[in-house]
Amino acid sequence: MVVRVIALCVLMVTSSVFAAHSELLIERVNAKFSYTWLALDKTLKAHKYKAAYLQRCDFALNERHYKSDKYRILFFGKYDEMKRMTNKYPELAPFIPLKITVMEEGAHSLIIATPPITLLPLVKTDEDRMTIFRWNEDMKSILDQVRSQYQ
Amino acid sequence: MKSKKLLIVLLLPWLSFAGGQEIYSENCEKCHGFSQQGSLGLPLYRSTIANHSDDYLKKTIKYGRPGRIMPSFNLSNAQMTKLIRFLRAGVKAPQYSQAVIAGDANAGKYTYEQYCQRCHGAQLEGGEGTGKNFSWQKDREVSPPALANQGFLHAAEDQMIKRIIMKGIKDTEMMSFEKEFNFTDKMANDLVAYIRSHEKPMEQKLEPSAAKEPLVFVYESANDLGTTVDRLRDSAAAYNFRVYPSRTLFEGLGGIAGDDEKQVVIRFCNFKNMQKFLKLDPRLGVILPCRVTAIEDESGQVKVYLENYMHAVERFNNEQISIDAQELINNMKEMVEEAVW
Repeated sequence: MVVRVIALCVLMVTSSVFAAHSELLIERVNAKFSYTWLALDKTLKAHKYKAAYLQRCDFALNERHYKSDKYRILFFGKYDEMKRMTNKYPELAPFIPLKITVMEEGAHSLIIATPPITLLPLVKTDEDRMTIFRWNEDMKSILDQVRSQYQ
Repeated sequence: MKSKKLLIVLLLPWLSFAGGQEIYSENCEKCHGFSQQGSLGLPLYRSTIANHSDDYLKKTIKYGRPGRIMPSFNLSNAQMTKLIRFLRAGVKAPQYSQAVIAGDANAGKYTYEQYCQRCHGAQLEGGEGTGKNFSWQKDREVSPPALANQGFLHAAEDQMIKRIIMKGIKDTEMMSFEKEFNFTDKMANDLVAYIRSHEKPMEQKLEPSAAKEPLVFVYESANDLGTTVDRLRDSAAAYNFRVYPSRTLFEGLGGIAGDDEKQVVIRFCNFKNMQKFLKLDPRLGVILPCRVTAIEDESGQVKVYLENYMHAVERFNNEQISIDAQELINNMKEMVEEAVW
């Protein structure tokens, strides 16, 4: 119990510092889109998440003066955990599954996500707050690991 | 002894950049690119930085550009010094006096309308979109800066603005108006006075306007789940959204449970709007596609959950997106209200 409270406090302090500074989670990857996409898929699996589906947002982008049509959103999650959370807090449903946007920027890619920590006001118990914090830490770790694969 | 001195001299530039590169990688490279070539943020070419004093750069880092994507950074003075040293890469910092330039703002307004407005906008609001983005072709290499932005006005010295007007900035579209249009000293002074007349006291960082609003709008439907989903789809189409096939909330995540069918996501998109928003800030994909979720609870009551996108939109520090998004969100709320009624 004590360990859990300490862990929660540490996470809250580090996350509040982060939240005050960087609202969106972004990493620039030194690789073209297809490589970044592969690395993302691999990293998600390593974090025990399952990719649910991908949303292409590149419809006719290159016909509308965009240089690249590589723009996709990957939805992912863990079934049991997300089901438990949304059963308890249906207000979480609009934010489930989690998602990461991948876009091509010339020879690089950008991977972007909204920090799950913003969902904190929607949950009420310490245990559920810990789950949200963990999603946040996982999201940061996934983005960082994808970036670091092409340094 | 001599060889030691030589070694120190050779290592000096490297030693002075140490730390700055790490600070750049941590804070700046995501938007300004690996080699400062620009992307979501403006390019930070050495030839551009050469026009800016250390004080200007420090204030730019500290205040950011409110409403123009560039956020404010809470770096220590030592960190900023290291970062700036890294960006300058040995190029000497210019020194500008803090003296205010006296000029005729009315005459400056006329000059501005004749020469500057075409790029910097009638209200000095600058160009649309992000700094320099490779994702789309734009009619300009970089987005022209917003001269009325309070972050800029509180950072820039009058003398710096005047110098840039007269001499231009190398490697950019900002030409030398002294050379190209025979600007006189008085014309430049008047122009500086006009630009400076837009300065206001720097506001304290206010609580985001969406902070008091709910994260999620919840609606009770008068209909069963199937009818609610059908009506939401029809309503979305009536509001000019293209509607995608509906999905259950956990579809694709691998679980199997009968009640999953009672949590349905309706996804839709207005492509024209989407492209408009992506052009203003390509990161906006993090909130795409538009969606509502209809959930039937154990008692058979159906509720519809709609994300309040204003919370997400405020993270972009983009005034134009905030204005346009409010209209979109109001439309979505009306769309849902019509469907659940």
